[in-house]
Amino acid sequence: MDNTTNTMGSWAPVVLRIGMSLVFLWFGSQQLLNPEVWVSFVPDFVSNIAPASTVVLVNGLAEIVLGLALIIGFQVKWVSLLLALHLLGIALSIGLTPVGVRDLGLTIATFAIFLYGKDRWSMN
Amino acid sequence: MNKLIIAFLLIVTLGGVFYIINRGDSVSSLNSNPSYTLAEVMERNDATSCWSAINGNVYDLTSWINMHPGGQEAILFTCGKDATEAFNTQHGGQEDPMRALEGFIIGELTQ
Repeated sequence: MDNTTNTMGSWAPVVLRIGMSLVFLWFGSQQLLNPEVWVSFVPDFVSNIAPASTVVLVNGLAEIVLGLALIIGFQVKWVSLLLALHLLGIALSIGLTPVGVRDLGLTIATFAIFLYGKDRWSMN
Repeated sequence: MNKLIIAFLLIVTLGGVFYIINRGDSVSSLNSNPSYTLAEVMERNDATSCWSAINGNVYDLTSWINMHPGGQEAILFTCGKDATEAFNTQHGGQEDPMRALEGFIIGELTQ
């Protein structure tokens, strides 16, 4: 039983990493395909610097590239830290709403990937 | 292997940049503020193409139908119509819906 538990436990970080990667890949692709849907989430101080639709497109691309790196398992610690900080900014800007609380949970999950680092399926 | 992954991610990034630039061209063409008549709005009255006139502007809400927090029906109801009264009754004075609506503007309503 202990060996089985240990084996199952060793897969937990892999499952977490792949699961979170899919979240970033999905939201990133949605921002590229339908940027108009996400424009309202761009904070005012950001849209004062650049057009909100451009911010959404660039953000979507960044989430896809980092999501790909994460799912491949490439530079897991740094990629996950970047994504966690990125998601923390989004959660804080959204505030204490159902979406904001959900995003804060995802931030913590991504930060857990950073803390764990390399897992049995990551590249390096 | 690392170089291969870096090359792959760079290719994806470059591809994304080209996509954004091309997308940006199509978005910027909308910034010239074209005008549409209510008759043109009324032609786009279903889930495949949903235009709505609100407060003197015309919005393409097609992609918003499945994303609207209040459900699809509320948006489908506005397709092909001047939905100013319905929108203002439901969302008048609310900042978030107003900001969300801005992302869908495609032009002005003309007589």
